[in-house]
Parts: sequence; structure tokens; C-alpha cells
Amino acid sequence: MKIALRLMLFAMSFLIVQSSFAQSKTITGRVTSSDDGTALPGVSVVVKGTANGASTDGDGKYTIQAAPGSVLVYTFIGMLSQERTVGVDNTIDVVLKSDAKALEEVVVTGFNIAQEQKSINYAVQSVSGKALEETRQQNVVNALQGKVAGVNIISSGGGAGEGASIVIRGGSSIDGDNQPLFVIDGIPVDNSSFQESTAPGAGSGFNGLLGRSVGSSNRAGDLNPDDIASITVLKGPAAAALYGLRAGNGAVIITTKKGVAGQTSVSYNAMFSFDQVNRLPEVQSVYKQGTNGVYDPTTRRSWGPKFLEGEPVYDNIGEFFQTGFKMNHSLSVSGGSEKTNFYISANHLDQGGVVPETEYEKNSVRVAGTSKFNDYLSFDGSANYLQTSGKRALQGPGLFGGTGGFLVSIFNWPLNDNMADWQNPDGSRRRLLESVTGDIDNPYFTVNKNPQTDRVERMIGNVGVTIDPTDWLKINYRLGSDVYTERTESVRSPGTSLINNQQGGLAVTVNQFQQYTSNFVVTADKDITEKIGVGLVLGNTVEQTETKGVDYLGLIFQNPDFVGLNNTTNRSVIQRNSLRRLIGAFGRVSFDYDNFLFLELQGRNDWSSTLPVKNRSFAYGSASLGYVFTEHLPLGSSSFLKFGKFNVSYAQVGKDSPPYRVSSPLTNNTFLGGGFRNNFFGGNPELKPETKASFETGLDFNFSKNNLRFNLTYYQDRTIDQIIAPRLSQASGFILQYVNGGTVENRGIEAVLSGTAIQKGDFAWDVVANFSRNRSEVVSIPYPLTEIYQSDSWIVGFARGSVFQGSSLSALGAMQYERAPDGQLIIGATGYPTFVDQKFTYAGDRAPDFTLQITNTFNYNNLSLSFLTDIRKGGVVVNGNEAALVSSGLSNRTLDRYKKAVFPGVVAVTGADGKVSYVPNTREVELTESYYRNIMSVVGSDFIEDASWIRLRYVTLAYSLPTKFFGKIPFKNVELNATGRNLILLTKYSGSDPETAAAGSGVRGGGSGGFDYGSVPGTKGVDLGIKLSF
Amino acid sequence: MKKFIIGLCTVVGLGLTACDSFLDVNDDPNNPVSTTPNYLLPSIIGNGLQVQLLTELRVGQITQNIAGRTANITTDQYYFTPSNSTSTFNNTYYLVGSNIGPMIAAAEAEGSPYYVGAGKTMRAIIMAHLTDMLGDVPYTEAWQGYTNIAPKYDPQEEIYNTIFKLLEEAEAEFSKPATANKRPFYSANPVSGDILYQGDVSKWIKLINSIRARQLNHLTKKATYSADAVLAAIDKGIKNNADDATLGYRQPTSVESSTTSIWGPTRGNMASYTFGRMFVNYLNGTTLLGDATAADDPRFAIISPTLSNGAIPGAGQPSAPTVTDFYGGWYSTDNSPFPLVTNAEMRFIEAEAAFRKSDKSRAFTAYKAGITAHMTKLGVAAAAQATYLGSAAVAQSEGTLTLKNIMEQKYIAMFLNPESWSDLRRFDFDPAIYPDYAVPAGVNPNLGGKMVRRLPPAQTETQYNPAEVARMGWGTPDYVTLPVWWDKQ
Repeated sequence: MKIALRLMLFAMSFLIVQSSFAQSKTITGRVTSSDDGTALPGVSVVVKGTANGASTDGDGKYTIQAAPGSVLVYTFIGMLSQERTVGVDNTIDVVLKSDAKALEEVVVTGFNIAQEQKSINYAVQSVSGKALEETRQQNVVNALQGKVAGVNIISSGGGAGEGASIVIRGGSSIDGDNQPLFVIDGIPVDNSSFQESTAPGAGSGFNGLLGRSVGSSNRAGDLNPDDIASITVLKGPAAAALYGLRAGNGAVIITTKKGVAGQTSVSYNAMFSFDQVNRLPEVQSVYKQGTNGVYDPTTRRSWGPKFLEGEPVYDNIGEFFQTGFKMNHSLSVSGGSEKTNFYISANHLDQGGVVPETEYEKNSVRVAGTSKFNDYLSFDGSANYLQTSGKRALQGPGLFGGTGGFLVSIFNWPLNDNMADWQNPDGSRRRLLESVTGDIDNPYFTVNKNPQTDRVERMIGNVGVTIDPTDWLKINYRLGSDVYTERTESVRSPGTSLINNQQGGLAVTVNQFQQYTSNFVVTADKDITEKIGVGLVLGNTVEQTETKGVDYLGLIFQNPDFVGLNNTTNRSVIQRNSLRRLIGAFGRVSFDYDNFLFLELQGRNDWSSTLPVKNRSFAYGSASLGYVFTEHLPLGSSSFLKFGKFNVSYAQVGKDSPPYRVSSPLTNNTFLGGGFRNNFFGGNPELKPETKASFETGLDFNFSKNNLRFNLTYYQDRTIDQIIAPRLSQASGFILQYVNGGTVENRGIEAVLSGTAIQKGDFAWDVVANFSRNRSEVVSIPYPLTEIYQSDSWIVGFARGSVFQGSSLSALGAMQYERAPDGQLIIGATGYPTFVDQKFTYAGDRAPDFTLQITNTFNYNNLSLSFLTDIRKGGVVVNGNEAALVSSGLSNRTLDRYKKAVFPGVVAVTGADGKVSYVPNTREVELTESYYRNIMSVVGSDFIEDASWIRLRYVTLAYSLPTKFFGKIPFKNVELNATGRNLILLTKYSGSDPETAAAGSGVRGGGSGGFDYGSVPGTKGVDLGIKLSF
Repeated sequence: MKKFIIGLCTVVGLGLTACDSFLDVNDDPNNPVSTTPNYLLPSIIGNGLQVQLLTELRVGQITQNIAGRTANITTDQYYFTPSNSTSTFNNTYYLVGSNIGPMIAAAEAEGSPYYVGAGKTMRAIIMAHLTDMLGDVPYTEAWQGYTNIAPKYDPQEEIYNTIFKLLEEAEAEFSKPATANKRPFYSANPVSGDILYQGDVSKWIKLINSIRARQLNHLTKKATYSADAVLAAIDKGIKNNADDATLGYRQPTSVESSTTSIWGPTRGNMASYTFGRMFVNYLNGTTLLGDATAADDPRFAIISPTLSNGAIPGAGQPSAPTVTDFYGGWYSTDNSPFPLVTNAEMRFIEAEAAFRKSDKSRAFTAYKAGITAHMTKLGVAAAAQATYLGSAAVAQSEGTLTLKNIMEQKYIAMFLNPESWSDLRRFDFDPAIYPDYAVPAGVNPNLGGKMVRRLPPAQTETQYNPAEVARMGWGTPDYVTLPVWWDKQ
């Protein structure tokens, strides 16, 4: 749209009559866009207060006669006007900035329907492709970090290609997936992450792999960020009601780049990056291997004697990590005519991780085009082939919940032994301990010999036809698909200590995912009177999601050096197929009155295959009202307030269940006797949809000065009848049972300030500031449960993601020291603090109190500096790494060993009457190895820390070379850029990076954010890039 | 076709009734929700019998059949926590019990009464074991899935009535002719159905009566105890070693894992444990002959080829070898079968019941038959058996036979069987019967000097059924010393 207007103005500019004045001189210059540095043709240049004007040519160049002291005004639709005073220079180059308000005037919400910003009565927030690009993140979810208020994004860790989770407004399901729906050009696409299968007989019990064993990707990470023109985030159910149940947690609407008529352009980006681990735990180097102060070669722990002077102390941790190198090449060609346009892109990324032997690679080719058959019929389509592959290290607790992760193994390596010396001369593994099972794998063995690889081949495509019979009616049909095959391979080489795999093991998983979506949408917009406009949307959607999965496991390698299933003697296989279908019918009717009052009603009915037949059909909807008081009240054109709107909305959304939860399938009995038996999960033929009701109200202001926009939103929602699978009394016959139960509420505030803070001549300062605060509360959980926890988050023995009655959705459950009613520690008869094994109580909320994320962008001529400051206050993080180090004796906290101490606290005394009273503890005890290993390191109390941070998430400096440098070379633009990521991290957290989700991005419910254990620590890095366009 | 339906549903749009079949795709394509009884019974038998041995990993420490090799193993010292009961409780209801109802229903529907009988027998066996270990447990509200996620606990007396009723009903089913069965009770290829007795119904009837005898024999403290009732059951029970209910441990296959013995080296359960000193003393002459240097019981070298000196509960094993000396005996190789209900046990129950009704002759005969049955089972040579039976370790006449004689031989024959704990409780750990039963070193002081008479509730029950667990009295420090119903006068 914007581009078309540009062209129109360019054509019109030739009609403008040029004139000149006697005392004038000739000014020449070039006008470029700050968006992408490209030349702007057709910009109007006028001497202020006169009719004297000119316009720029195809290269953005202009010539005008003007007297010194006069003012030149540069205007162009969609851009902010600029004024420049003519001085001594005869050359004036101008960079025009996009008019943020103008850009946002049209927002793509549901089903490719573009809506005027001012008619939208609920919170949506858009991010431009450029704002995503400057983050230099290859994962689109990471690129959104800090860009949208109310969106909480957590990177799982610093591994190459590792995923990130995204949750909007705190989530609502205790046990469901809380991540939003991802939609590309109107068609939903998959953003799942590896999660342990709950299919009968499958999962870690079969092949050992847990969600926390490997830092896997989230599927949206497959996308090429350079293909994205903009992203709109629909935050609440009101915004997402048309998308239906799958958008109950909000939606991320991605609009891709399209070709532009008449303008064939080629652009090439190259980026080279260097990454390092941000922070590593510090360890003591005083004591070496042993037990109770005595050297002991049969233990890996460092509870031995002190190092003697001159004895070698190996920096096993620091030596292990390396600098990761990444390069990214991206090429796009676009163009078109009045009838047809096209966009072609290719992308290649190759990344080496900070952990040796790990790597990540992704490739993408995309073709998209539109063709206008005639005035009322047009076709469009796109096809995107994507390929990603990773080679990753076993992390966290490794396989089978054992001790196979590389980092935990480092934490258990005594510093008197050179860990890097991991192979015997014959190539076999050098053992630290004689015992095969007691000696867990050397981390170098883990990364070299037990690689975890994955590869995805994916095709995302859609075709659409649009019929425009009249100016007020539009009919659109679109068929889209997201199809991929994912193959993962987990190697356990002979010689490993991994349980059941000591003679070699190979687990292969092949998943074929197919999602088809059919959307039929009719839209009508008509002004029925001069003041009243009516809009109508009617639509039907049919979705089918099918997964065909097979898990293979082969054990015992016949040739120890050959990796392949045929080389194994003991093979087993499991089939894991699933199919779900959904039909939706929806409608929206909207009224606007005199451009200031906007009313919108939406309704949808879904028919889901996953619910019992009697509950399969369910309806829901929303109502919203917007009042533009600046249009209604006489504020006058000189008012400081250019635009002001008040919104209120109420919405309800239903949410179905994943498939196969109605009945209770059997599973193979793999113990004595064989045959079939009951599976873990009890089905429920009474399941009904979850319901989320939400209220939202907001204020939107646009200030005339510098086009600064301020938005304030308050929301609250309540989700009832949650579909959860809590553990329950196994006397019921099952370990976990699907039930409807539990209520979760959220309420929160979002404030967004965006626009241009200062604009003066060539200088501009843009700011986007996002403030979010969400409070979730689990109002009830099904009786008689007191805690519902996510097993997938239970990565550290003493802590897990749990909800309790009255807690937040992302609460932490932990084993903690027992305390007297006044809060003092209860010290036991032995003089040490007391705790109850396996008693998990509320230990804080892992979600932040609030976040404030500010992106500042400074433009001066060809120079642009942009940086994102990310402030997070509150929330807890579990330092599981430190607990492992305390247990192994490497933690600095163990340097007090063998000292005498009196634990502050009280001793419980039971009186003759049976009443308990508390007296201060006076018993002096020694801080023994047993205390550190059996008390301190197995209780959460000492390892739950504040996760607050202030970080410079990125800073990007870009410089567009002046065109005169190029001479005859036909570059439109050459930009050099440099980015630093996470260069500054201020936090009180004593571990590596408090932004961590060590159990991966696939954990349901409250997610796995805030668990730091055994994963690749967060990284910092530098990117150097060059961007050429022809 | 699929595409056509999608198209149809698109066109039909708001109508949609035509699309019902399009949505009928919610049956799991990977696993059936039901199957024929012959593919459910094997796991019910295998896992159902194995529950008792999982319990024995801890109960063996109470009976001092086994003990920790090092000092201060907490369970040796009677520090029991709910996690010690979790597998017993959960395997009973989830792993095993949840399959019995559907199997009985399927068998009744198709007309296979022997499967119904086997289901009821197994249900009686798992409930009997569970209640004997824990006391009051859920039954009337158990296995109700989503309709009752916190089942109430029933009194043990009612559970006992249920057990006897189940056994009676099972016997009636097995009394039907084979021709009344639609499906063979056992099939060898592929192996399915009755993996316990390979379809020999008469052995099931003997098992049913043996369980009945065992449970009736538990009631010695009750006014309703009847030695005649016990003996009546014994008369119809197992009389031959070949009829023992035996768990056939073996090497794993590609589809079955953890099939080796719980007591064997591969499962690794005994790495930190070995024989209890009390048990060793019965075999090495100390207890029965008053002299450790006297001739060993011929079973000693068979059960413990290294002639272990055993561990003292709470104190550990003096001069402990670097690896446990538990493995390699008759009970403790990977492929060792484990007999759970035996001819030997029935003979000692018979001896006790006959003794109580003063039929000393029958008691003496049964006593010696019990010793012989166990020795024969272990492969003791006839000559060695005769030597032992003639030694001072064994009562030589019905006139000199005591309950102590009966119970000490039963204790030996019931090695690693949690049923042995019921005997200890019935005799109140009486030193006159069990002279070598030693209070562990560093015994849990919270128990107030009392013996352990029940296990704690399961860990998961304390979390997910807290009200019922509290109603049982869980929370008091000496909970495990509270006697179960039959253990009270």
C-alpha cells in the first residue's frame, strides 16, 4: 500500500512545475528511508512558504533552487516530514523516518483481515521486521524478546539453536500448553518443542530421553526471520476470538514480505557472530578428590585433603567451553508488475556452539507471489522449504534421569584430575573410577561419543483466492499446510556409563507432522448512512493435525564403532500416531458511528474431535466497545492530544483437549508376563472444554508532538474447568487422571510508550518502552490435591514447577527447612536444620513482579544506534548447579567445611502436657561432609534466589555508506552493522544467567523458566554484518 | 476422500451435521482400550505376585531375613517412611488391580469362567498382601477412575471378608467344566493366559485354599479363629512342591525387561544388604544347636554359598566384603525362581493349627513334612535331609514338639517371604518363640521400644489422599507400631 502510494507520487512529481528565484542557489541531495536505507523516489521537496518545489528521482536524488536561510520541507506519505534550513552547503542528504502511527494504522488481525488501528478495541501490538532484525536473533521468538508488553519469553539456555518459550499474559492452564498460536499469512503453523511422549509405552521409560536431556529447538525457530515483514501479537481472548480455541493464549500473527510492483530489488545480508558463555559458576580449588578429608580414588567428589603447594589444579570448567562461531547468509529478490509480484529468498545459517562438538544449521528457501487475474479475482501463494539440524550435548540429568549430562559431570570432576584427558591411547574412554556404573561419563566423552542429533525437513505453504466483486465485499478462500519430518538420533557409545546402554545404545525417533487448514472468509464493509458504518465477517475453518511417530531403540552394538540400528542386537519399536480435527464457524459484526464509537461483536462455534461427542460442540464470543473521545469532544486541532481512545471488551474462549483423553488405552506390559496392562493415564468420558473469560480495558493516546503514542491496558481473566492430569490416589486405578478442575485467574497492567522522542534535523531518537505486570492466582485445584506439579520441570531433586491453592501459575514447589511458627529454623536433636524428605511446599513465584523493556534508537544521518535495555524485577530462580557443586564439594560454599557452628534457630521441646514449645538452639556442630551432602544440597532453601536483572539485551550500530562511495557499482545501499548481545548483565543471582529454562521450552503449565541445572549457560556475543541491496 | 470431506465441511459450513463422522477420530490408533482376557492375565499374575517381593525389600529388614551391610541403615533401625510403602500400594491398585476388573468383565462377557476365577483369585491375593502389610486400605471405592479420585479406606475386617468371598467365588468358577469355557485357559504359542499353572485348574483350586488357610491362620488372636477351618482349607490346599505358586524369573527378552530375580545381581537391590544375622544363626547352628561351630543346616550352603556371617540390623556386617555376599544362592541368582505360596508353608500352617487343637500327631507329621518339603525344594540330598531331621535342631517326637519348633522351621522355609512378618506379629515377636530376634542397634526411639506391626501409608497417598491417611492415624511418631485388626486381641 505504502509502496504503491510512493510510486503514484513519484509519477505525479513530474507534473509539478519548477520555478526559481534570482538569489537562489542550487541545492542537490538524496533522500533515503531510515527503514532500510533505500532511496526514496517521489519525495516532495518544497521551499517553505512558497510554491517552489521538486521531487526526488528514482535514485532518491533531487535538485532545487533555494536561498540560504530558507527552509526546505521534505514530505512523503507514510514518513515523518522533515525541515532543513539551507546553509552554506550545496548538498543536503535527508533520511526520512517512517511515521509510526501511519504504519500502525492498519493492523492484520484474524484471517488476513486488515483492520484500522483505531477501530480495534483491545490490545494488539505490532513489531516491524526491522525491529526484529536488529536483535540479530535467528529464532523469531527470541527476536520478540522485549518488543511487546505482556509477552514473557524465556530462552531455555545458551546452546546452539536452543529454543525459547513464549507466554502471553501469564498463561491460564495448570497442565496445558500455554504458548500462543503462531499464524503465518493467515495459516496456523506449529511451534512445539520436544516433550516427552505420554503415549502408552513411549516416553523416557522406552528410550531414556526426557525433555530436559537435550536443549532442543522450538519449531518457530525454523523460520527465516528475514522473511518477516511484521509481527502482530494478539494478546487477549477478545483479540483472538476469531481464531478460536487454539488462540486462547493469544496469537502471534506473522506477515511475510511481499514483492513490490515495478521495483525489482535484490538484497543480501551476511552476518558473522562470536559467542561465549556469559558467566560460569566459580569453584573452590583448595580441596581435592576424596571423602571426609582423606584422598579416595573411588569417589569423584572433592571432599579430600587440601591440595599441596605446587600440585596441579586443573580448570576443568573454564577449559571446557569454547567460543562459538556462527555465520548467516541471507538473500532475497523481489519485484513485480501491476498484475503480478514475487518474492524469493534463501537463507543459510551455520552455528558452532560454546559446548565443543555441538552445532546448529538451518536453511530456508521461500517463494511467494500474487497474481491479479482481473479486477475482482486474484490468486496468491507461497511455499517455504525449511531445513534445520542440530548436534547437541546431553544436558541436565541426561538420560533415564541419571547423571549423564555434560555439565553435571563437570561439576563432579575433581580438579586434581585433568578432565580434558578423556581417552586412553587405544581410543577407549579413560575412566576416573574403576566402577563402570559409579563412574559417570566424562563430559568430553559425552560430547564426542554420545551425540544427540536432530534434523527437520519442513514445508510451509498456502494458496489463496480472493474475489472482490464490489468495493464493499471480499471473499477469500485459503488452504494452508505445515508439513515436516523430524528425525532425532540419540547415540550412547559402548563404554558409556549410562544405565542399560553400557554396550551401546541407539534411540531413533521419526515424527511426521502434518497440519492442514482450510479457511473460508467473507468480509463486508459498508457505510449504511453517512455516519454509520457496518462491517461483517463470516467464516468457516477446518483444521486437521496429524502426527505419525515411531520410536526405535537398539541396544548392544555388535561392532562397537559402528552406529546404526542394524548393528544392535536387542531392538524394540513403538508407534505413536495421533489425529485431531476441528471445525469452526465464526462471525463478526462491527459498527462504527461517526468515526468515534466502535462496537464489535464476535462469535464462534467449534466442533472438536478430541472431546466426548456430547461435549464436542461449544460456542463462545466477545463484545467490545471503543470510544475515540478526541473525535467526539471538541479538543481543537492545536491540542497536544492528537488521538485518544477508551476501550473496553469482554470475551470468552473455549479450549479443547489434546486427543485420546476420553478413553484409557492399554499399554504393553514390559515386565514379567508380557501382554497388555493399564496405562498411567485415566481417560474421562465426561471431559468438557476449558473456558477462559476475560475482561480488558485500555486507553490509547497519540500526542501530536513527535508522534508519541501511549497505551495503557488493564486486563483480568479467569479460566475454569481446566483439563488437567493431576497425580492422584492410585487406588483409583491410575497414576494420573484427566479431569476438569481448577481455576486460574490473571490480572495485569501493560503500558506501552512508542514513537519519536526527539526529532531534530538529521537526528532522531525513537523509543519503544514496554511495561508489564501480571499476577496469576490458582484459585482452586481439585480436592483433595494440595499440589499439582509438572514432572517435566522436575529437574532439580528439591524443586519443581508446582501450583498450590492460592499460588501463582508459575509457582515453585521446593523441599525446605522446617520452620517454627515464628519463622525461625527448627534445629533437630543432632544440631542441624531439619527438613521432611519429599515434602514440597510453596517457595516463591518464578514469574517476575514486573518487566520494563526499553528499545532506544538513535539515527543521525547514515548512522543508527539501537539498544534494548531489559529490566526484570522479582521472580525466583533455582540454582541447581550450585547444589550439585555443594554435593560434590567443589562449591565455594563448602570452604567452611570442618568448622564449628551453631545453627541459628530453635529446638522444639515437647512438654509434659504434649504441647510443643521452642527454645533457642545452642548446640555446636561441625560442618561435616555429611551436612553438606545430605542436608544442605538436598534442601532447596539455600538455592532459591532472586532472578531480577538489568541487561543490555543487545546494542546494534549500523552505518549506511554514502552512495558516492560506490561509483559505478549499482548498489542501492550498503550497510555495515555490529551488534553486541547481553554485553551487560546486572543481577544478584549467583549462578550463570537467571534467564534459564533448563527443562526446555516444551514444559506445559507454568513452564520450566527459573530452573538452572546442567544446561548450557546463557551466552554473550558479538555480530558483525553487512547488508547490500541492488 | 479426506480432502473431499474437508471440502464438504467447508461448503456445508454452518450446517455441519454431515461432519460428525469427520470428527469421530478420537480412538487411540496406537493401543487398544480393551483386549481378550488371555492377554491381560499374564501381567496380572506376573506383577501381582511380584508385589510381595517388592514389599519384602523392606519387610525383610523387619523379619531380619536381610540387613544392611553397613551401620545405621535407617530401615534396619525401623525408621520407616511412606516411600517404603509406595510400590506395594501403587502396584496393587494401579499396575495390577486396575486390570483385573476389565479382565473379569471381558471373560464374563465371552463366557470364560476360568479367567473370572483367576481374576478373583489374584484380586484376593493382592488385597490380602496389601492389608496384611498396611492394615485398612481402599476396596469398595477403589478402581473408580475419574469418578472417585480419593477413595476411602475400608476396615481390615471387611477386607478379610471380601478376600474370603472372592476366594469362594473363584473356587466356584474353577469348579465349572472346561467345556464351559470359550477360550483355552492357557496357550503356549504365543504364551498367553495362565502363566502360573499352564492351565491346570486343579492347582488353582489348591492355591485358592492355600490362601484361605493362610488368611484364616492370621486370626489366631481373634475369637473367630478356628483351627478346624484352617485345616479344612489345608485339606484342599497345596500338598506337593510341584503345586507351589512360583514366580518364574528369567533373562529379559526384547519385549520384556526387569524379568530377572529381584534378589539377583542384575536388579541390584541387594548391593548394600546381605543376610540378616538372625536368619544366618538359624542355619549355622547358633540358634538351633546353641553352637555356631556345630554342623550347618544343609540348606545354608545352598542359600549362601559363601556361608555369610550375616549383618546385624543397625550395626552392619562385621568385616564386610567389598561386594555383597548375598548373591549366588538358591534364592539369589538372576534366574532363581521364587515360590510364594508353597507346600512347605501349608505344612507348617497345618502343624500350627493341629498343634493348637492339640492334634499333636498331625502336627508332628506336618512339621517334619514341612522341613522335608523345603529341603527337597532346595535340592538337599536325601541323606543330608535324614541327618538333619535326626539332629537336635529338629523335634524328635510329637510329645516334645513345641510351637517354637514349628515357627522356627517355618521362618527358615519362608525366607524372603513377607508372610513371615505376619507370623512374628501373631507371636508378638515373642523371644520364647524367636529367641534370636534382636532389637536393632540404634533403633528408632520414636517407637518407644515397640515392634513394627504395620507399614506407613504410601507416599502418594499422603500427598493425594491426605484426609483418609489422616483418618488412619498417620502422623503419630509410632504409627508403624499400631497393630492391624487381626493383630489385636
